[in-house]
Amino acid sequence: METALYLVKIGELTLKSGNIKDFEQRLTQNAQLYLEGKQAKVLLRAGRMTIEAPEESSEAVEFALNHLIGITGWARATVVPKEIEAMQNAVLAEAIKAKELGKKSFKVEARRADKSFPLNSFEICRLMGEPVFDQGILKVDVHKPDVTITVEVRERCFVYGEETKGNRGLPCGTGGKGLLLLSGGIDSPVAGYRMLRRGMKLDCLYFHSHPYTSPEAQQKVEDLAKILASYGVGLHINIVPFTAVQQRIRDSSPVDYATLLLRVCMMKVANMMCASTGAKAIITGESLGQVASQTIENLTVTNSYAEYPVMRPLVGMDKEEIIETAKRIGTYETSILPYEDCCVLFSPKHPVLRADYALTDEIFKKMDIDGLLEEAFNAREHKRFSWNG
Amino acid sequence: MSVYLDWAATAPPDPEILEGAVRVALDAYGNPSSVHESGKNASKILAEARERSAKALGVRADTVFFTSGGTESDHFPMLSLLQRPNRGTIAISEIEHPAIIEQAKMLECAGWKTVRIPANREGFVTPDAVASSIREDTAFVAVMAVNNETGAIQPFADIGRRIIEVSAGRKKPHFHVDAVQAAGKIALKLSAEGIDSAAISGHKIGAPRGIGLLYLAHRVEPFVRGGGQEGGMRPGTENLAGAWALSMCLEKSAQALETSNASDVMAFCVKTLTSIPGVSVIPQSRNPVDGRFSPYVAQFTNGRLPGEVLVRALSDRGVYISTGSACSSKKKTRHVLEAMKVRAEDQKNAFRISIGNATTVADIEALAEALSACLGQY
Repeated sequence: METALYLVKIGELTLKSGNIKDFEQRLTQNAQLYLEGKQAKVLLRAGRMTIEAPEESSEAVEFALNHLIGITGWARATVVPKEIEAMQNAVLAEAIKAKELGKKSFKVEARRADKSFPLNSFEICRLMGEPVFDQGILKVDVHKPDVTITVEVRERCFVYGEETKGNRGLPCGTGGKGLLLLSGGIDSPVAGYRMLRRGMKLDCLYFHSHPYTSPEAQQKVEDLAKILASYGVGLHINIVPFTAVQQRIRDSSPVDYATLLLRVCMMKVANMMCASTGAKAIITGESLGQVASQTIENLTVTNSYAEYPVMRPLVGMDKEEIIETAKRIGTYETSILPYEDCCVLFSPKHPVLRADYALTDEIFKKMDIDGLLEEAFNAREHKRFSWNG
Repeated sequence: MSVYLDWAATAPPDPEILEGAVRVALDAYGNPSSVHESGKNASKILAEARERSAKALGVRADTVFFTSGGTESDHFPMLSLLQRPNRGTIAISEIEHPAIIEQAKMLECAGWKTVRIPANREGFVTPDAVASSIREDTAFVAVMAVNNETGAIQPFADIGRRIIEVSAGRKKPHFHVDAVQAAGKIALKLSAEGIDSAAISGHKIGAPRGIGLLYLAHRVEPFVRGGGQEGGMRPGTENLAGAWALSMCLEKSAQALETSNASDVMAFCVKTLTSIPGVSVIPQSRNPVDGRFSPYVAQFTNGRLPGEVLVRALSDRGVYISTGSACSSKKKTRHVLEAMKVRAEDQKNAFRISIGNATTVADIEALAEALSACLGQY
């Protein structure tokens, strides 16, 4: 039976000298979680990961490698005997593959860890590249080649072509647990992804206001959570019914404060959620100035109600950058579906822009809403999504 | 216990007729075009269905063609324009169903020009408005019989006559009437002078989905070709069971119309709902009993909740209504209300109640109670 072999480059991990073993272990564990039942062997040695699996599991392996956080790149390699001709044929095969993809030039890179191998790196490069050049498959360009074909001589010899870029970052679970305030917009899923990349495990929190908001809006959020789950090796989502809270805000506070007070209420429930699940930080998709109400004054006010550090990975990013990431991780198309998170009834035409904590707190206390917040929290629905939905 | 008040979207199928249709499908399964006994039997039943439909509609059997539904019937005369060597103009009212409006956009891609005939603030397209919209090169006019959002009965007979008048001396534009919300609900005289074609949909009057009827006063060159069925007008093996069901539904609803109390039920509906604070009917000039409107469809608005929210809240309570055309429930604009220049706020909060012959006063009472409760709760 044919085996597929993948070589995986680890990134930032290598900078962590002390607990590198923990990081490596977690990375391997995460990879194994994606590959349960696929008869794949995941090995991490000397800062390099290899995954070997039967050919029929190659799709699963590539899915895992495209979603695994903590690797900088990966490539499917061919294992060849340490004989010149066999190595040359493997390099030729990679060159032909590259030509079919429209590449025109190449160079060979050699890594020689086995010092007993008779050729040095320079000689390896020259010899391996010769047939490709002789047969006119690709031109040689050592400065800016279209493709780099690598020959690694270790206990075994690996030959591989272009590397696919990985998600980089730190393995999920090495950065503690965070609670993501997830909505159906473009921003919050990207904020979640960025924190997953820093090694956080994520729980999600979503607020709906049926019948003001539609079941389609909730489905959209669940679909986004599923996409994040594919990067975070599974996650939990908590769905909190906020209808009564929205109504109380509408009925007992100035209309211009509606959005701000809603965010304060969300923050308070987020506190309860963190306490209950052991999450150590609240993550939001807020970005400074993107919508009228996201001013520094308003962010400061909502921040004051948080009992855990609030992480806003998008705060300094502009919309284009956020959209680019959303498209890359696959959340954009879902985010732009036209199902609103918040009924237009609750969105003031002229939201307060420069709120003051003291005044806001006075208004908040007058609403006497703590009981409703607790009720909403207790009525939450919980769902778990594994990495494959 | 649920109260279904979205008959304009679709009617609950008539159980007796549906069962009969299944028997037709099982017993008369021959292809009506086949020459053997089985085929001949099927074609006989098809002919009877045609006769029955024609009789119910007051037209000749050779003007009746079975299609897959109201949308296809609406498309037929528009598509046949594509055969004409010269492109001209089509005039369609602003309040037509998307089946007409969207197809007109496609005709524009093929070089035809579209003129929109405006409706007045009460949602009626007048013969004058139609006359003003007709140009030298107008080849096609479409004005529906009953508007699906407000129930407004358009003066299509007068419009037909007016088109004849203004086009004296040259080729008369083809006048098509979308009668989807009219058949079986109001007195419909398709054979009136000036009406060249009409579209009818089966599932609006209790027939299964997938069957409709096209009335064609005179032969028109079809754009879609194939096996030559339906006298060469509409290719494709005939949906015999569907045609049979449709003919039975047309016959049944024509009879039911004579004794229907839909008018009383809708009068009660308009009166009761408008007595709820904040609820008004669109247009406001519609009286509880009002001969200008089909008693089967009415549009309302309210002062508190967006229509969508109301639909969900009422659905939770087992009352099923809609916001305008079911087809456009994913879109945000209400083009009919927009054409009537209804205020944006009222458009957003508008909702449609549509009834059938089975709807009772008790159903309306349940609606009113649920509506009041929702408006109070939310």
